[in-house]
Amino acid sequence: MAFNIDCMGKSYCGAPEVLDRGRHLVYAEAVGASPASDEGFTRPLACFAAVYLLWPVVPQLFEDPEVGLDVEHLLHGEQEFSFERPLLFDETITPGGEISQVDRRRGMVFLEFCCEGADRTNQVVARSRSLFVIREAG
Amino acid sequence: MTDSHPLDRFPPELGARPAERRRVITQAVISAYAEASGDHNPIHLDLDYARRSGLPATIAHGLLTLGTACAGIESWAGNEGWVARVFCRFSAPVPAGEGITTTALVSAVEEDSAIVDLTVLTSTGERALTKAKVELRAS
Repeated sequence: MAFNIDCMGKSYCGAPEVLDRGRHLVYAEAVGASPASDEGFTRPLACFAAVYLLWPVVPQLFEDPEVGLDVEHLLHGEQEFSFERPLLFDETITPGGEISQVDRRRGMVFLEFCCEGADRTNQVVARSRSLFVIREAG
Repeated sequence: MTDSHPLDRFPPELGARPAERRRVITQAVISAYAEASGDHNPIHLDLDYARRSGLPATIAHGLLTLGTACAGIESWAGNEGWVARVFCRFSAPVPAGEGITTTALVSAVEEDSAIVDLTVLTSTGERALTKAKVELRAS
């Protein structure tokens, strides 16, 4: 499956998801996080929001036959997250993503994928920028 | 000198060094992260698949390494600050069983924000992340 260089601008939508405390506990244990006080976590860890921004839409990108990504030769090169405000437990975030830049050089594809997460009032509260690097065969 | 106490007022002092954190990224940790994130890419979970991909072992998700480093800063910032921005470049894979050590330095301070630079090294001294930064804002 050949990579389609003309995929720039293609967008993906994820279903609304609730920032779930139970899932957060599993995440917090995995990253070795401890709450700052005895009250436990008063808000979700920032990188936990990445789970809700990226993973509802990134698999769509990876599995999109129109894009033709060779996931076996894909590296996660860079990651950036930014937040307009601290996110809260039990709030609903609706993610969306777009292929914002594609560059092919020296046998590699550099694909920038930007996501936004909107709250119930449709305000964008979180953003993500991922750079994926794909080594092309041959 | 590192500061093992949570931040008691914002902004932190320029040059402050939140406590160093060391964590071994076992396969159990990687599997737990896969469960929490929904990222079940076999390169993180299947040793045979990882070996066929030219790796000596399964490797941690990049976002697990970043999340581990960032969680230490969030714990240090406590209720005084919140994370407004995180950035990193993934520069070396972290194989299952490898330890990572995160050190941090407050490199810029304003009245209501601060930048914390992170250095994340494997036990062999390789940088797992480069240019890693967390921007904190006053709560």
